Amino acid sequence: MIINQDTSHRIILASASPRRKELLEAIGVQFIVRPSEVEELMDPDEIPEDQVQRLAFEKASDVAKRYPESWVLGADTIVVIDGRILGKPSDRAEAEYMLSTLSGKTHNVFTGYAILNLSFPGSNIIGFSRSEVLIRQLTRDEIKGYVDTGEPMDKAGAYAIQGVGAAIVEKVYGSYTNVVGLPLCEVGRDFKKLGIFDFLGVQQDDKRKS
Amino acid sequence: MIKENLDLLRMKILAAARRTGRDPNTVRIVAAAKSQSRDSAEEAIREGVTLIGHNYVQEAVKEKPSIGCGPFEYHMIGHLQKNKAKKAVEIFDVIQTLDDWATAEALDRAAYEVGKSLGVMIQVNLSGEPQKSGISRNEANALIQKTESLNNIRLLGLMTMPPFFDDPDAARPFFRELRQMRDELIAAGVMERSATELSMGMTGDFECAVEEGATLVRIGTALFGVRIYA
Repeated sequence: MIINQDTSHRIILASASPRRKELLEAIGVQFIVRPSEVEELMDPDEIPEDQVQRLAFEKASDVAKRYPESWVLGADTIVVIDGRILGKPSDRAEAEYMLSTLSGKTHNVFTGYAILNLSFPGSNIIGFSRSEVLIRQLTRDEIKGYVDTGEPMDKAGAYAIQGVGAAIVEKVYGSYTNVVGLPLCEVGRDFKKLGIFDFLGVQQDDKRKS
Repeated sequence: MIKENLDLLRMKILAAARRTGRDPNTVRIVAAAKSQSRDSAEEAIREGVTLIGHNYVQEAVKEKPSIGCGPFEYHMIGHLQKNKAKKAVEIFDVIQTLDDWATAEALDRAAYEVGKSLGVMIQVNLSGEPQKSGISRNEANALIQKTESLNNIRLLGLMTMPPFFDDPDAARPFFRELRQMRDELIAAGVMERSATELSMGMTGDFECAVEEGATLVRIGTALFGVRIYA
């Protein structure tokens, strides 16, 4: 394994999602992006909150091995409706079907996150956030039209609340950023708790090392 | 012959309904057309039967009556394999024999793709006979609840097939149990108020089933005569 000796990057986002990158940038965190390469294995008996936290931890751990001196943030988001977990659609037909399933109903969005640093093994924080989203009743044509935009294809549940999908979201109860893919309030709070970053006060300064 | 058989069936249904104070119009005959020619099914439709049932997807495709002989609904009354869901949705209006979640999901998806609203009924195995299809009463609640959440299929009610008895009255407790189950599920809000159908009773025991509340009786032999297997 190649251990990266460059310690100038103290915070790493272990996710290829451009949405998560934008969110983290929005609160002023300096970080670099290093997506994990773990395979996302599903266990049908696992409850959603356990699944997202486990996958977030696996992603963060995978990247932390390469950057043992950095704080690594991993995250995983799933959409759950009536006990069914909707991941990313594998094709157009599945995207349409997922949207037909969400149409006119309230579903849950879970994002799990894990913050860890192999140099501080006792300081891991793993958490999750849950939001409820009501999608308005959609016609077949609306579903097809939305899938035509291409936006649903790489999104859990086949919609993006921050994109064109905003037009089909009637209500959100709970964290909005959680639905986008990273619950900023919780993550910001835990960053502060760990002394990594306080976006409301002191700029990035590793208190643990000083 | 189908006409005479049908007249007799209707009389018996009428009498059975009257015995328990039911409206005979709430009972419909599903012509169980397994191993019958398309001609026979079409004749039944011309005589006023509005529901045609089949046990096998392939046979149902091959023997589907032409629309020209009158309006009818096509019902799947045999066990459905998940891998036949798409074909089943294309050909049938109602699947009476849904008994597992994976198939429910497959039907829901196929119904979306085909663009039709499919009726389904949950087949319940009340006798616990292992060789019979159907979900156990204990597991039925969860399946019904989840099925009700699906957007492209409509839950119409319950279906059962009691063990075979020479004495038709021996099946009565099973018919009664299915009716009680429906009433409880609706009262508990697990099943929609509109999901009132009870498919139970066949040639040998339909009168007893009607007395106990059947809304659909699946009749083969008493309608078409004894099946001749070529």
